[in-house]
Amino acid sequence: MTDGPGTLRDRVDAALGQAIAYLPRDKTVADLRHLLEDHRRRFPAPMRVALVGRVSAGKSTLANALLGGRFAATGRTELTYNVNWFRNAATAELTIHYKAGGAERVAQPTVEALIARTARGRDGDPRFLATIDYLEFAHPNARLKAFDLIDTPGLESVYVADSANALRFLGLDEEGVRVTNAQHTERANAVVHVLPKPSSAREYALLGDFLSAAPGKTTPVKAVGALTKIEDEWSPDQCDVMAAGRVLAKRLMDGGMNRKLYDLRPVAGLVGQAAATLTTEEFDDLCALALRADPATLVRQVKYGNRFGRADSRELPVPPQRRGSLFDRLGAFGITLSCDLIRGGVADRDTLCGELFERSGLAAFHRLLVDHFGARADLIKLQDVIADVEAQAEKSVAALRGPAGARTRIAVERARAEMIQMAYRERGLDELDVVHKYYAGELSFSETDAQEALRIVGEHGTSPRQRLGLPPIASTAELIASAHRARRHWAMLIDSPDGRGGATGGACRVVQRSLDALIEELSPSVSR
Amino acid sequence: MSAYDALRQEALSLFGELAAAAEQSAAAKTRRRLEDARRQLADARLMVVVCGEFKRGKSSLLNALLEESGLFPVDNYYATSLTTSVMYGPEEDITVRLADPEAPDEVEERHVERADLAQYVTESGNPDNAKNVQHVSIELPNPRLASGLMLVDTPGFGGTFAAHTAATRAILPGAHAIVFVVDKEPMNESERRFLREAARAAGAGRDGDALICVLTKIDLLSDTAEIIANTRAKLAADTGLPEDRVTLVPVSSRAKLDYVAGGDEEDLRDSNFAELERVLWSTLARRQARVLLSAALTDLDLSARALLEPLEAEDEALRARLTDDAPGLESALAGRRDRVSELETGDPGWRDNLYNQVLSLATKVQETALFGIDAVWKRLDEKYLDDDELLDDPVRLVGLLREDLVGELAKAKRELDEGAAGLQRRFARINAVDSDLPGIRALPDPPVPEVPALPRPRAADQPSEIVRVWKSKKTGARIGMSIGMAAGRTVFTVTLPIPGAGSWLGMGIGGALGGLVGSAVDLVAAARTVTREMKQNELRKALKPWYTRQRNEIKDCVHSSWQEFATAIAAEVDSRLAQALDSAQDAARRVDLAGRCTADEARTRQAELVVERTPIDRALGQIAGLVQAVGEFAPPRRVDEDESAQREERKP
Repeated sequence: MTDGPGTLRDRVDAALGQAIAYLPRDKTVADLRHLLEDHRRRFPAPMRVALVGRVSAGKSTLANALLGGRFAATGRTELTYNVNWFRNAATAELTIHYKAGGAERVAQPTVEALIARTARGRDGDPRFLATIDYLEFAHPNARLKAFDLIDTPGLESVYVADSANALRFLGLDEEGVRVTNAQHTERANAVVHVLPKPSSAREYALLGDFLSAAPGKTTPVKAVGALTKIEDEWSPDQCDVMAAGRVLAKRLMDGGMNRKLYDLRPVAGLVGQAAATLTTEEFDDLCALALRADPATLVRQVKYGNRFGRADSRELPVPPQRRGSLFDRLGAFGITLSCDLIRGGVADRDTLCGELFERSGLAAFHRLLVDHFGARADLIKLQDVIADVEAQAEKSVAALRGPAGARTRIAVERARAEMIQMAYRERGLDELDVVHKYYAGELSFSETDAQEALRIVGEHGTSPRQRLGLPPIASTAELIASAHRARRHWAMLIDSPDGRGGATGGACRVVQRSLDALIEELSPSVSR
Repeated sequence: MSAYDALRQEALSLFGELAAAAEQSAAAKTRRRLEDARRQLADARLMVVVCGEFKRGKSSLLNALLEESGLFPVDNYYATSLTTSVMYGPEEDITVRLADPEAPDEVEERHVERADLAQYVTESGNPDNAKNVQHVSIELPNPRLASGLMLVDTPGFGGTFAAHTAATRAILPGAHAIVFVVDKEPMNESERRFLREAARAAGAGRDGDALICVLTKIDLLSDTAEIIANTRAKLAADTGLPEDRVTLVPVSSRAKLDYVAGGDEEDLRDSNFAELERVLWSTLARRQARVLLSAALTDLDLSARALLEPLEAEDEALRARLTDDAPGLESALAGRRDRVSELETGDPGWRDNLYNQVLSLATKVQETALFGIDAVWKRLDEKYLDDDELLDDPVRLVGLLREDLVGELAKAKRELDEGAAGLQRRFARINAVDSDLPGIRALPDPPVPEVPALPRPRAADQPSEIVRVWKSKKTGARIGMSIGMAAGRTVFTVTLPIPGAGSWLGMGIGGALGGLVGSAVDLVAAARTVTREMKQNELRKALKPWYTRQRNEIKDCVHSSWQEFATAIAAEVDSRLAQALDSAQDAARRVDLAGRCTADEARTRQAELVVERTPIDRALGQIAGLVQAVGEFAPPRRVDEDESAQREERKP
């Protein structure tokens, strides 16, 4: 019942090393060997989070907002063509991976160099774009410490038809994109579903289809949702679009989305992007609008974007063209929000950007990604590793049928066993499984019990206090007493008629083991 | 007020005036015909089908168009999974039609308040349509609807909601204008797929295209040029029209609704709704308004002449009486009596001839439709099944087949509508009961009055795919139809009587498309097979029943309905003949009386006649003026004519 020595990462490395050692240097198992080596090498790397969604859902805008700068081209029409992998590194480097194989490195790349290879530029050559498999953009970025971010042109199933067509519209190849996208879904450990504000409850049923069509990759634990384009809902009568967005997100989650997504958060992507890229001139213009225009006039004028940038609105201090571009960059919500903040005393650009980052929901969303994917990264990756290895081992065993392959087959089985043991040994995986099953609706607990189970298995944090749901001031004695109380409750549950069998019974046992481990951790003298 | 409104109002008041004259002359048949024709014009609907994907701003657009803030609930969850129709009524009346699982042919009609509508049509008020709402019909005392405008809000469509899409699709062929709603986001693939189909259904009219694309939410952008160019390019690619011929109207419903609330002219200007209304009305004028007015004017002219004939005969006889022209009187009386006996006997040949002609028209239409279906099948065999990408993508394959089929059947429907109207005019002329006003021939032939009984194509032996006519629980009146599919379950419903002669064909199209959706499951299975040849064979096998069924459906439609068409045309001609006979008999009677009155009486009568005929003469003058006005109003736009005109211009 122990996880074994060292960190999870050490244990995974040891297990993979052991599995590799079992395998003969034999061509028949080269694939499996390669896979194990690949996973061993990649395991310490950060988790890869892909932004997926329909065309024009706001993926690139969200990517910029999360990355804290302008890295991806954004616009009103379809733009992103190539998959774009952003990761943290000491020095900036752009690597272009070509479909035909091979890669090209660009040292000290400019963002323009990246965008020229990602987006359909005004003069971009679609044939060149089509030769690119994906782009890897490494640069020093504190926001990318916890995870890599992958911006995509649109993924799979319900999304593929749109994006493929968008690409056909751009004169680009459809089949190539499908293959590339599939590979990148494989490459990603987790996804952010970028959902442009809800269309209908039914459209979300489609999302469910999409998620269940990609087994193993898109369980709720590995998927969060961003409800984008929230700012479009702004009107003088509804200024607080974020609050409305939160209500909506909650309704959607309560309405069944919680079976598909770990969490769904509203984000004003445009405002978040502006927070990362606001220029001094833009800040000055916002100040002029905030301090020199009548607030009521401003609201009336900004209500219509098609009027705001027009020359005949003479009541406003900033020249029409610059007003128009401010509207494009911030939308009515961003402009009125900024002006309110400036009137409230915000006096410099950086403070305003900080506020916009918070109030656009981006700060919270980034924290969610760091907390959720950051904290669980290794477990989530381990799950992927085990699933991949099992699948490949299956294939290898099938290929090694007959007496000639017997020795190698045994080696493969031992390698596989090494990984399966890992699956049994790591309590964290069992806990993650409980979380999965809860979101998948497989557990028949009462809602109170379910919430307690989630808490105990670390869904809301892995410290003893968080697992027991006690305040930070709780003493060790209180923690132990609470853990014992919970232990008794779960022991009782497991004896109740509906607690015994199936997924629910299994979950009961996992919760019990988590409590055992917790009690052990809190009172070392008892066990040792 | 639209130009159509004005013309229609004038025609309606003429009906009133002539009816009064008919009353005075005791011309019962003419009075009844005038009443019928008046009702036809007064009740005629100009059907505008509004379609678009969820959340493109359809509800706001409808509210803004009607200037009724808050009529259609605008809700984050709002998903129209129903068809809702809005038309004129003397007072507000919202009828929700609910299906009764116990009695599938009947619906319960419930009258609700506007505030309660959301409980039936929104996802939050009626999750998953648990209340079984089939259709919502809204009547409003809204002046914008007074001339017969009927707006039909259709369910949204999108990737896998085949049933919704099918419901929308089935009513497209009957639309006089199609408003396709997109917004400031680039059009996506499912929208474009649907648009291609709508364009095929809408482009088939004689008078040019009925498709109007509306780009909503322009208030969310400072500059709309980029998205308009993007959408325009897609529309051009999907409709096959050059970019400058695509109808795309950018609007802001928000600005229009603000104008309604506050009266600020700048809001109205920025909303661009004036342009939308202009485009909408010119489309309706081209597609339907001229047809309706042409029918009304034909009737007005016939009736006015029928009323005038006895008066003129009498006047002529009185004049002969006063000049003691005995031979003149005698020949006038003989002439009138001859006319009566001629009409009484009639030409016995025309009726048989009419039936033969309708049969041969129906046969021709059937051939066109079957030829079209065969052509689609041939294209499948020779082209689509040779395309590796399509072999792997049955959904797209079915989409293509459907587009092709809609195009082919729309062609057949047009042939039928125009052929039937042409026959009606021809047989009216043969019997000398057609209007011969100068200019009226340039107008479209008046349509055949609606066929009274709707045929039911093969309901009994095909329970999996049925077209069912619904009756009101209370009145028993036919209020719509539903097209069911997938193993006896009614998956979607269309509750609109599809207007016009081609209604059965419209139903045929709906049924056929339903069939296609039904077999999609087999298609997906077929696409999973391994080799190319297997795929081709499996797909062919999966589609073959649909092909056969579609052919049978068309044959059935023609067999079961051609006689009803002939009867409808014959009834119209008979009714005109009866009117003519009535009028001739009255003329003969008056000539007879005139010959026997005293000179004083004759002079008094002459003076009375001048008064009696004044309103009729005035009406005839107005009718002639109206014919000219209608001829000048929204002249037909024909692509081929435009092109040939351009060619002419280019000649040195």
